[in-house]
Amino acid sequence: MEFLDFGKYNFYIWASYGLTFLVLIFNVVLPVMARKKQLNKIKRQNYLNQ
Amino acid sequence: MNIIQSIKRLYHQFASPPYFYRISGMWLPYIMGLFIILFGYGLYGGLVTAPTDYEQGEAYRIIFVHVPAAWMSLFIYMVMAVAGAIALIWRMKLAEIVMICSAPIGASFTFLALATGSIWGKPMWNTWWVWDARLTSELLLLFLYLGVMALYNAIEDKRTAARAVAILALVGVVNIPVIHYSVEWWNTLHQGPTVTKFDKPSIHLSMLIPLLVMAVAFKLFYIGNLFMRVRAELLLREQKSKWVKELAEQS
Repeated sequence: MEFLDFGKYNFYIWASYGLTFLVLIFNVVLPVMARKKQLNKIKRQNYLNQ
Repeated sequence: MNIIQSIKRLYHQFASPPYFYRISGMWLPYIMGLFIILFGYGLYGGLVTAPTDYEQGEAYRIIFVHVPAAWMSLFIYMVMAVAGAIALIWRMKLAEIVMICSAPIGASFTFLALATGSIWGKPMWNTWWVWDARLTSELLLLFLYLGVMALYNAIEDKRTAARAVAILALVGVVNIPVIHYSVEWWNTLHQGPTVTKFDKPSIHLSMLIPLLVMAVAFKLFYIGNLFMRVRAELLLREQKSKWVKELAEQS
């Protein structure tokens, strides 16, 4: 048995784990971007209000 | 008496947006760091050290992401409903935000449970999907999450929106025991519980340990991701307040 080779189930296992990675990464990236965007927006508003 | 007072004090502290923002920012690196360690261990245990299953061969390894994702889909719904109840009863702003920020994470894990289940079903049952009780009730859970998110976005005033969403979330709780007991109440293609019967778990320790580690890792991910989303939402909701304006200047 080769290391990390699941024979005829390779596709199914890697599809499942790949999808897991994608979902986790997507969930992290969204709020990071939202927070950055919001901070920049408030900074701009602060500057305009001065 | 003293305990009640300190609980009250803690409640008011955590209900305060600038306090929560600061404290959650301090905890975040530790929570996510621990998540990465446990997730890595879970991956290693699940894909490398766990033995091949005598019935399902290598295909069963999907269990290490499928089952924790399914557990999270139920757990996050309960957190959402409890936060909704707190929001309705005490009008606590932070509870509203916890509730609404939980929805997309819960929807993600529900989607993941459905998708990995489908991928697992193909080689084992020779079909991507069947309309059996477990799968159908889990799909309903996904629609409940999406309904919560859509309803919140549809109502302009966010405090009113939160109240409407809290009621929807609470009504949807009825689906949770249905999902959990579906494999016992109905004759389903989906297999029965393997882990939760503690008297005689039908899973070997070398498979159970990576499964439980993965479950803890997913729980940590939820907490960390919830903190990230709550922080972003607080900046949006509190953009007119002094603490947010000062924070933006420092960043």
